Formats: sequence, structure tokens, C-alpha cells
Amino acid sequence: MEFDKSKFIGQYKEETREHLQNLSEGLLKLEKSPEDKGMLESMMREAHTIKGSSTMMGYKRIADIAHEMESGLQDALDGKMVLQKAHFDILFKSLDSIPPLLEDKVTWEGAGVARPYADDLCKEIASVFARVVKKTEMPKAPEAPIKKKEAKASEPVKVSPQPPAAIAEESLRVDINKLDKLMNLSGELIVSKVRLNELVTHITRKFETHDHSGESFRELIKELNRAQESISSVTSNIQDEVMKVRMVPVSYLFNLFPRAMRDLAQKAGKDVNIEMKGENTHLDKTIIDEMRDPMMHLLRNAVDHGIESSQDRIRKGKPAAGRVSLNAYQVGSQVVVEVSDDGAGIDVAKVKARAIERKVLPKEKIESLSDEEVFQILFMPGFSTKDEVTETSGRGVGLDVVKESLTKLKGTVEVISASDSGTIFRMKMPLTLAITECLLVAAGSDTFAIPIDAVVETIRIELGQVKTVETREAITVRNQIMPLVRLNDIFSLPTKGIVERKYYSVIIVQAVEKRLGLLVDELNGRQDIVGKSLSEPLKNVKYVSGATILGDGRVILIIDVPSIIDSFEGGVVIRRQDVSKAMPGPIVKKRRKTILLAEDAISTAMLEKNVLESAGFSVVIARDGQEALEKSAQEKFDLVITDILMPRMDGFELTITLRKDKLYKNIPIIIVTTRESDADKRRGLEAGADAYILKSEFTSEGLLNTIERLIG
Amino acid sequence: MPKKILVTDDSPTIVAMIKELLESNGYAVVTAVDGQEALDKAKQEKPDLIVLDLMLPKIDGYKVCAMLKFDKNYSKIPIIILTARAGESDKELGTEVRADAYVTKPFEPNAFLSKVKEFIK
Repeated sequence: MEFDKSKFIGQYKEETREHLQNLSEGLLKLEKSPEDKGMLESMMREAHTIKGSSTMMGYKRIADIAHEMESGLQDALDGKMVLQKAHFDILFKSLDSIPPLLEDKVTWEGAGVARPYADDLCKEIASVFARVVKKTEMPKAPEAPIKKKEAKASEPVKVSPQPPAAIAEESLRVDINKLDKLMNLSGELIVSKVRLNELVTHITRKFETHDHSGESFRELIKELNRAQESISSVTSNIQDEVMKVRMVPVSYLFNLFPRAMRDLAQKAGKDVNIEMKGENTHLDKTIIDEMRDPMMHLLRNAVDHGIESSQDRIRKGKPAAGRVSLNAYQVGSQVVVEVSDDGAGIDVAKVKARAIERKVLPKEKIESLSDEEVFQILFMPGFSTKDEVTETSGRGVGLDVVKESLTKLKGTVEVISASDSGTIFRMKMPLTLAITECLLVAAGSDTFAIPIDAVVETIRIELGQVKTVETREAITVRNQIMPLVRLNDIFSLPTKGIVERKYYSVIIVQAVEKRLGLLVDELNGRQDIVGKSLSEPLKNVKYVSGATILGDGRVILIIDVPSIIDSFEGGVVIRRQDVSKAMPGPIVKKRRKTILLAEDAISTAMLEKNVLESAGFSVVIARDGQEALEKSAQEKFDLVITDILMPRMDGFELTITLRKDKLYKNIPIIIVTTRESDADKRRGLEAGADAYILKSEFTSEGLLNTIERLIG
Repeated sequence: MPKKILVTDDSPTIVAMIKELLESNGYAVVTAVDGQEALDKAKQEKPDLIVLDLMLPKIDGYKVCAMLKFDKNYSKIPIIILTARAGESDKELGTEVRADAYVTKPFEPNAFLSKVKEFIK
């Protein structure tokens, strides 16, 4: 019977790749402590094993190269030399030469290309090891030529830190697409399970209310409940297991980098150590794969832009060798991956200067930006501060790519940097993209899902708590003013049921560090959902990231919180024209409403008066707070608009005084001012104002919208 | 009862290959991927023959061989040393630890089988 080796080729390749990875990691460690006998021994064995299996499988060239590596390492182990940089360089070069030989044995060996190549490499390895032997005779040379027998007979071989035995565990490579299908199916199984639960509950309840069907039927119902419970638990287990299959430790990602860092640091002529923490944190394989490029980019940046030259570092009183750390940890259903360095930190002034030069924003605006805002500029396409172009980091195109990658993974990236102490890039991403825990909410007659990761808290508010700031609705939660957006407005939906109600549910959502309140009609609890991305033509619907199917078969949309925050917090979108028009509401006024306008600048006063009168209001002007107070006593106005800075009595005082007056306790007050600070806004709202409009952002439309909402 | 052979190598590929080769020729095969496991399995399973790689994690192949050969409970189990090394000193060492035969990788399946047959009648 002819023995067929070919079916072992797949296993051989996989095994060899693992040995190469072990060698790569081990040699890096060995480079730090080249006299670690245990590690030397372990490295030699790895090379030896590659040699053995390559020989068996007929991969002659790989066997040759591995043999030379093994011999060299054996010499080092025998104490003939201490490994130096040249040794490691050639060992790494050898490692790099093996994967192509592994991939395409036929082409390489068949065409006779591999042989001279491998022969040359073997000679080179031999010569590097031989040459350095002569140059650096070890001080303990006399002891060196110990007979191998004695060496073998000595202490038992130290166990290497990473016994290759681990690979002997039965494992199987599976196409990730198959897992995705499995995941999808298990998701649908859950959907059916929920539906089944509902039906069983329903039937059980029906039976209990008409309890005259006899004992046998009661038994059947019990049986049904038991079966349903068992299906429930099995289904959850299936989902958990399928999830786990997709999860791999972050070390798969991290271990790619020490080697790359070595090359980068060498190219940049810098001395950099890499540290890793939390490699055992698990993440979805898909996410791990997507993270490779952004991580690589951040590492390049750290080496090229972050870490200073050794001289600079010593001058600053830092250790000569720079440190780059990779750290991963889990927070709830999110994983945080940090890339940090102890380099120079981001030069805020330089970024500003470059931003001005590039005209990313108006000059005055850039100068007034906080450090955090300045860091955000770094993520804009094509932005770099490094003057010269380096081979590795190129022209600095890339932080935008990092951000894009993270956004794709529903993650975020933030920067923390301090001059001379270094920079941290903190990336947050979900554990998995397959399952999301969501809060179900109703707006109008529709149900939506909001990913729980984006939810900070849910609160109940009375409409009276809603203020207007710069023509937009806002609420104050724990002393923080945040925009309030009605989910109905976003999707132009009619309000559900009775419009008049005392309490409204508001969900505080967060993306990056920005928060916003989403007003919804109903909260419908939490649920794990298997999100499905939308296909054309629905793919680009704004504010929606996907869809899912509920237990009752309804298809609902998943809200894309970051895009809502971007639009509404950034001040780009106020209340969209079409939406406000679509909103039901009283448009016809019954009686001309009267407005008291306190404003000392006569031109502003006249402008506002014109706007208001053309909208059908009757307006009385007061030239300062005192005069306004007097006029308020003569006539009851429907609304008061006041400036802050005025002679005799300012706007704050006027507001406080009016609020104490029974007649004006509930009359809306709008502050229109040039004072932009949050403190002033808060002070105004605390004084009792219902809205706060900045003169710099004053539009007649905005003012009228605000008034309409307050007294419309 | 088929004859039982313990195959030890730290390359799972080689273990799988030899296992397949031996099983298709009617032998029962147990496997080990390091020296400690080889020693344990040799004691537990009492195989009729041991195929042993030299360079093994945890306990070296020579040591495994020596420990078995110098233990009268196991000294009768024939041991074929299997290695990619081909130096004379290795063969010498093999003899010293009382290995019964010495096969160098790569080996021809048929040559290997006939070696096995020498020890298992």
C-alpha cells in the first residue's frame, strides 16, 4: 500500500507556522537576556522540530535553514558564544524566509529557485555564527567544549515557558463565514424561542382561566412548559457557545507586534521596549482582524513621532530606552485596547500651528480650542505634524484611518497626552459585533432598539423641565446641560397616544464624551438582539445602524447613537424644517399674544420687535430691567424676553424677581444675550429662564421656533 | 489483539503520519508529544514497542529511553529512536542508553515498517 503524505501537508504547514511564531516571540525575549539557557534550549528545539517535520514532508529547503538555525543555537547553548545583534538579525531573516517556502514549495523548489536561495542563506547563517565566535571568545572559553554527553547528563532540561505541547490539542480551522452563518441561525433560533415563550405563556394563561379541560390536558400543558424551558436553556447555551467560538485572546493580535516593533525601532534608530498587558482579554475574531492595521499605525506613530531619541530622553531625565505599552481590558460588554508610549507627548502648539496653516478651521477658532479638541484635529484626513516624511509613518495619513476603522467596529478612539510624559490612544470597542444588548423604546407607533452600551441612564421628566438653549431644547441632568432630542422628530413620527401627559421618558445616551437626551414615548425593556446590517437601498438611512427581528416577527431598526449625537450636539441640525412642519400642533393663533422685551441696545430691540411683530405678536419694549419690572406690573404679558447686561437691573435679577411674582411664576422667560459661557447659561436657567439664546447665533426663525414651543 | 505501539514526537504532523502508517498496517497506536507524556503512557499502556523522538519538551528522549531501559519493569519494551540528527555521537549515545534501534528522519515508510516488524513478531 502506498503511503500518502499529502494529506498531512495542511497540518504540517499549520504546525510550522506555530513553531515560527514561537520562535519569533522567543527570540525577542532571548534578545533581552541572551544567556537564558532555558530559552535557548526551547528555541533550539523549535528549530529542530521544524527541521524534523520538514524533512519528513519533503520540504528540504526549510529543513536546511532550520538545521542551520538549530546548529547556531546549539553552539550558543554549549557556551561557545553569547548571541549578539548580528545573530538575531540573521535568525529573524531566516524566520522570514520560511513562510514563502512553506506556501509554494512546488513553484520554488520545482523552478530550482529555492535551492540557491536557501543555500546562500544557510551559508550566511553559518558564517555569522562562525565569524562572531572568533571575534568574541567567551571568557569562560576553556569550559566551553564540554562533551555533549556530559551536558546531556546534567540537570534535567528546563521546561520552556511556552511548551509547544499546547499545539497538540485537537483543533480545527473553520471558515469565519461558516461561523457567521451559525451565529445568524442561532440568532434566529432565539427569535423563535422568544416567540415560543410567548405562545406557551399565552396558552398556559388561557388554560388557567378556563380550567375545566381535565387532568390529561393539565399534564400536557405542564409537559409543554417543561419542554419550552429546556429549549430555552439549550438555545441560550448554543448561543453562548457559538459566541465563544468566535472569541480569541487579544494575544493573537498583540503577539504580532513585538517583532514589528523591533524592525521599526531599528529603522528609526531608536531604542524602544514593548510591554504588553491583558493579552488574555477575549475579543471577537472579526474585530481582532480589523484591529491589526489601526494598531500597527499607532505603533508606528509611537516609534516615529512619540519616542524621542536616546540623547533627548537622557536630557529630559528619562530612561534612554523608550517604552511602548499595549494594554487590553474588558469593561462591561466593551473591550478597551490602549496603545501608549512614554515619549514626548503631542505638541499642542505645533498641531494648532499646522491646523492654521492648513486652514482646517478659522484661525480664531483654532486658537481657542481646548487640548482635547486639538487632539481631535489629528484624526482629520491627511493631517500630520511631523515635518519630514519617514519611511514608516509616511506622511501622517492614517489617524483618520484609525478612527474610520474604529467607527466601523462601532468603537471609539480617544487621545490622552501630556507634554514629555507621553501619549495614550484609547480604543473602545464592543466584545462582539454579533450580539448587542439593546433597550427597546417606542416612538409613535414604531419600536426602536438602542444599544445598551450607548445608554447612560433613563430618567423621567416633566415637560416643564425642558429648557431652550440657543433655540434648541435642552435639559439639565445632574448639573449638566444637554440637548434634548425627540425620537419622533428624528424620524418624523406622530406622537403615540395622548399627547398631554405628566411624565416623559428620556434616555441619556453617550458617544465619545458627549451626551444627549432622547425623548421617547415608551420604554419597553432590554433584550439581546442579533443585529443585521441593512442592505441597499436602506444602507445609508441616517441615524440607523441596522435592523433586527423581534420575537413576534416585527422588524425594528437599531438606532445609531453616535450619528445622532454628531448631528444634534454639533449644532449642525436644529429641528429640521421639514420635521417641524410635519409636527402636528396649533398653528393658528387665537389672540395676539403680548411680549415684554427688555433690551438696552436700541438697534437690537428694534430688530427683535420687527421679527416678533411680523409673526403676529404685540411687543412692548423696556430699556432696562427696572423699567421691565415696572411694565410687567401694568400688564400681564404672555412672554418675557430679556437681555442680561442692562443698566439698573440686569437680566438675571429681573428673571429672579419675576419668578417670585405670582403672576409671572409660570410665564416663559427667554434670555437673549452675548454671554456664551456654560456658567452663564446655567445661571440663567437656574434663575428660572426657560430658554437661553445667544446673539451670535440669533436667527429670527430660531427665536420664533422657541417662542412657538413655549407659548404656541 | 493488535500489537500496541507508543509513538512520541513533538511534531504533531509526524505523530499523525506515523500513527496513520502503523494503523493502516494493523497496529494499535497511542501517542505522546513530550517526554513526560511518553514516560507516563509507557507505564500506563505497557506498549509492545516505543517509537521515540530524541529532542522532546519536558524530558529529553534520551532520558526517557534511559529511564525505561534501566527500570526492570519496562526494560523489555523495545525502543526505536527516531531523530533528525545523524551525527555519530548521537548514535553512540543511543547505544549507551540501550536503545534497540535508530531511525533517521526522513525515513521511507517501508523501511520504517520493516524495522518495526523486527521487534514485533
